[in-house]
Amino acid sequence: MQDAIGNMRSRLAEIDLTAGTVHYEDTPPAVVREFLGGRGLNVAYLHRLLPAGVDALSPENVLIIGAGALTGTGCPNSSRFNITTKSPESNILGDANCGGFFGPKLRYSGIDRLIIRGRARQPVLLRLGDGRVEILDARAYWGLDVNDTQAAMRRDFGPTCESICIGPAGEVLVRFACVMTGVKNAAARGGMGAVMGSKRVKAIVATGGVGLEIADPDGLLALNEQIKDYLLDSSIVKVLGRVGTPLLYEVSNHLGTIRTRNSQDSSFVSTLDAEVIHEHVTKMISCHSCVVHCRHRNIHQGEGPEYTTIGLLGANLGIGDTEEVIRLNDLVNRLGLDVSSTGGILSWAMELYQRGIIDASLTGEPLQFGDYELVVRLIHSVARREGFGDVLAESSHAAARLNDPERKYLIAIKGLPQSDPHDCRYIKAFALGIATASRGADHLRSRPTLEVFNLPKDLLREIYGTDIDDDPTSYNTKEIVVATHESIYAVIDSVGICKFICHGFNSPKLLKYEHFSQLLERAFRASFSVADLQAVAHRIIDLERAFLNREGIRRPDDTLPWRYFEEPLPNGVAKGHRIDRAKFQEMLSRYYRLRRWDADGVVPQERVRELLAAWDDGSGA
Amino acid sequence: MRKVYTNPALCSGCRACSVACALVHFGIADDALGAIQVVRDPLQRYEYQTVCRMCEDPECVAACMAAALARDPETGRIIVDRDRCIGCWMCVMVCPYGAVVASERLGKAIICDQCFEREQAACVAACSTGAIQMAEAEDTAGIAE
Amino acid sequence: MAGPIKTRYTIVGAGIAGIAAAEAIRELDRSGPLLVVNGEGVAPYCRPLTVEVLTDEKTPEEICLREAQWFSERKITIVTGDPVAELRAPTKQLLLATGQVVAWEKLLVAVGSQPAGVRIAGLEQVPCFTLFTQADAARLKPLCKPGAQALVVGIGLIGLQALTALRRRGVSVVAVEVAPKVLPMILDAEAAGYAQRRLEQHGIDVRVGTSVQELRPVAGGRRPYQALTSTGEVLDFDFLVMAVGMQPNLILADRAGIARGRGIRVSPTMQTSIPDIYAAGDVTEYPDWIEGGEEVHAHWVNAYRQGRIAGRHMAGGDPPPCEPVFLNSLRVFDLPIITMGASRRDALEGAEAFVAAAPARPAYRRLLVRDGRLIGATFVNDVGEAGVFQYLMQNRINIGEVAEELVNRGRKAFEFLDELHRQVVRGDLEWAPSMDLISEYRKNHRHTRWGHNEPEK
Repeated sequence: MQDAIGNMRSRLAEIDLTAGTVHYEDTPPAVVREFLGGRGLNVAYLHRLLPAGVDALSPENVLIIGAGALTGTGCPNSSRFNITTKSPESNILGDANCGGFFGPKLRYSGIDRLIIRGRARQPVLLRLGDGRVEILDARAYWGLDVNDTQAAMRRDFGPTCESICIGPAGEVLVRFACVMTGVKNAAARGGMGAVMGSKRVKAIVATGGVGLEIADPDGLLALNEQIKDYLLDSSIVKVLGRVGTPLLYEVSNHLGTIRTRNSQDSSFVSTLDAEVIHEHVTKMISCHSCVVHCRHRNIHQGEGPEYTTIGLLGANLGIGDTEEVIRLNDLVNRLGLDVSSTGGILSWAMELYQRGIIDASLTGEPLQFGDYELVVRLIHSVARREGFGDVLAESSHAAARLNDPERKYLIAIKGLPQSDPHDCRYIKAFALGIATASRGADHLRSRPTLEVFNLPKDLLREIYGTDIDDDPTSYNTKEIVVATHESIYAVIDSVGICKFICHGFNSPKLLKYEHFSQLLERAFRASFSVADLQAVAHRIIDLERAFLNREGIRRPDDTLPWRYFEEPLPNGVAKGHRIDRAKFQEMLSRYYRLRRWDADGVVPQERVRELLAAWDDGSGA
Repeated sequence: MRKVYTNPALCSGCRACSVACALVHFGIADDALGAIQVVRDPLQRYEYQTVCRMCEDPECVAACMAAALARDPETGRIIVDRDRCIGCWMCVMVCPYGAVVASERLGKAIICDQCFEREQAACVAACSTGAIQMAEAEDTAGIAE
Repeated sequence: MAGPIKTRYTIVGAGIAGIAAAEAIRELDRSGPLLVVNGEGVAPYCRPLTVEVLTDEKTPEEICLREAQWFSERKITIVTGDPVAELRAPTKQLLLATGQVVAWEKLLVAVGSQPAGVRIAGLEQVPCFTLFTQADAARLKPLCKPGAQALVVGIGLIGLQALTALRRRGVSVVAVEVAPKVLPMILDAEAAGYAQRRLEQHGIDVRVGTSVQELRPVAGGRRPYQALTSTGEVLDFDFLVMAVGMQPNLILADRAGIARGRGIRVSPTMQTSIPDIYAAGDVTEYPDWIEGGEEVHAHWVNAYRQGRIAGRHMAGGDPPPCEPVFLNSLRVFDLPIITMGASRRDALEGAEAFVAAAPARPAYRRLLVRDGRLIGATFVNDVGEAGVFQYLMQNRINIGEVAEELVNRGRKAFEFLDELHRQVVRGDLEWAPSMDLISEYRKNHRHTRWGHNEPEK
């Protein structure tokens, strides 16, 4: 088994904060072989270590931070790592993928994965370097915002250190607090920051000192260069490198699918178009080893905004002023809040106020869409759990207090507000994707963007291996579309490469299984065929689902916000479209069959046993 | 004499150059081992590269008391004899460009060798924004004289 | 004995100043007879690395400065182990210890410095060593055994080197320094605090503000010798290492009547008060433009620079003047430190200090700025950019507007240095005007068909 993974290192540090101890070991090669790294190995560990029903904010929860198999190797866009835990926002799988510079530095510090358990008595930080982890006093940093914390890390651990940290929101356990690195990179979704805060870990700082041994450096460099040149020739990479993700705003807006005022509308102003945003940008910058440089250093504050921010803090809150959206973006980043949930929860409250379902006796003041100053106040109060902010900080758990117990007006699935600013009533595959995504309403698990491209049929057949219905509003064959994307994204998240240069996310071309296979071969002499990688993807998706099943997730949870079924889209090309309940259920059944889950969306027990078998192989090896 | 030039305005800060350099010279992926470094501070909002400027009369060579550094008159590159280098950082103390990498981990100085054995320097090949170029160059005037 | 050796250039001393001068002469004059007189009995070697020999990290061969071949290739004659007995300026001759006479047209005195001593009552009754030459290292080595107890007098650069080497060989060390801080000629009080803590972490018993009043042998004690300190304590030891500083070797110069203060006085082109006699390196004193007055500062880089200038001038060149500043690169065990200029000053009239301290790391950067000019800089455990500051100091570049940003690595510091080195860094090459234009943005997504623009694999 060691031969199969070559010299790929998968070094683990298990930190018990209650006891103050650190234990080191290597992940068994048989397990690496089956789950690769990043998201895959993280969920393998989470499933193994966390029993069902644990309170996500209790010391018993397990916080796992793992780099992808190719993270830090220098191959294009290999910056990414995953944080995986039980989410305090959704109470199911919490798993967030993040770029920046921390992932590579984690590996250069001689560690590929951290498993953090227990709870420290007082604020601590973890220092990683020279293959070791130290638990240090972090009381001096507690209370600092994200930027100030990282400035302090640079001061105290040297200018080449890289850190992840929580802001004030994580400290007070806001259920959608994120973990940040750099000015805007976030392991955003699912309340990773609240879990870190519950363990009283303010920051994790990596200083390097070990590096990552590469089996065939010249071969890898040659392949990297070839891939880089191929990517730079791609028009989508060029576009992303110039304007970044905001370009998607116009696409959604044009279709009449940009979530506006809590999805009561579906088109919004053009002052948030990519070209307008671009006027506010001084330089495009990169994550580690990135050839795209999609990150905006803007002229106001911070970096961004991304499409998600423009959508959820812009259109979704009825704010159309470019600079205001950019400032809101920086504010949530500094405080350590997830942009998507912040926007989704605030707009939910605003609509409830608008409908008279709640009033000023709860909110303290009128809530109006489009009121920038109000939004700034609310964000501050959420991040510190003050006043009405303390209610909103509970995210979807606030349903009863917000007098919307069925969450009728919350655009969320499985308790997680929807991240994609795209209204999924139009493109049915998008709807199936967010309904079944393993961490709740999330587009990064399966989003089949190719649906909007009008690709020729022969190309579609090549991509999906069968004929599919090329009408994005059709329900037919969309389970195949979703499963195909879901699979490759699982591998992408496990090798630690950015989706922007990968097949399926923004383009029918770019990097595919074949590329990952070659890269793993050059980097570690690890032999993973395309079929092997697809099998890895299959395992990850099944094990994530098994984790969800164990937490009680069944077919009725794989659904969509009420509005997506009941109200047709009001604007644009997509006007009149909604999701048909019966057709949705049929699509869902077909998806389960394709995944070989039962009719209730449960992974068969024998499959689960099969997924766990590698641990026994590994310990015996 | 060929030489690596850099342009901070075009640098996206990704450090692919440093990793490529480390891969070529050490077989290890680690941006800290690159002779070309990207100094970046996302909070202060800058990123720039540092790499040997190949001074004609190099201060680093003059300052080396272990006789570990030498300038190759043909290629103009600074050769570091790692067996001799003792990590005293005298070269670091005098390099006007902050381009000597003081590796505490190796206890040795790392200085760009212009990838003289390769057709193209690894950092240039790895850069995706055209922020690093290799060109034939006149000697950079020494700082001392 | 044959007749006088006739030379065009004679260099007395084979340290780095002498070698640099010889090298510089040969750049301008490839054949003029050139003689180097090396008083020591071994091939020229790097004095600062003597401690590496003591700790067995280097062999004597490995610290050799230049091999015999280097001299022969350059047609340089080297006389080894025959020190100069007398310098006869009026007749332009040298008399060597063996009686050999050397005639010269241009002479460079580069005889360096030697460890200074202090008078301590009872000094002659205890084993006292210095650690400077290879001979010193050879004598000290047999005593360096684990369990031995050394007393190091003086915690300057030489003392630091000695105690580091002793500790590495397992010797217990108590070190006394009369000044209230360690490395008093190099570090300000705060930086010295970092250094002292690191010494203590490595098991050195450090006593600052302490001098040794009396030394004596004791019979039947824990150790054979004792020192009584100014603070009234008794320190037991097996042997003593004297490291109270360096002093120029001035005997030759004094007998020849060369003007001097604490060191030989030289012009900016390294000429002494006697025509055709030059001096360079640790034996000289130079006008200190930072603090005024004359300064003797033994340092490798300055010696090299001075040697080169002397050599070029001797060979008829016209080198730019040398205006040395105080420079140090040192290591307190695993804590690297670089300093320059008036770094030892806790305060200096008219100067402002800019400090970035990170005690947790620990790391420390401090700039001393007067009238916009950098006159002192200290880098503790964060030395990578020190050379940039050395350049700013040597060239007296006005940094008044950005000093605060420079010490804190702020954006304005980056902009300032980018402007300063623009041409050297970017060359005269064509660059893309900005990152924007690297990639052409085709606004073709309105019809949602971007996929067709993808390149074929």
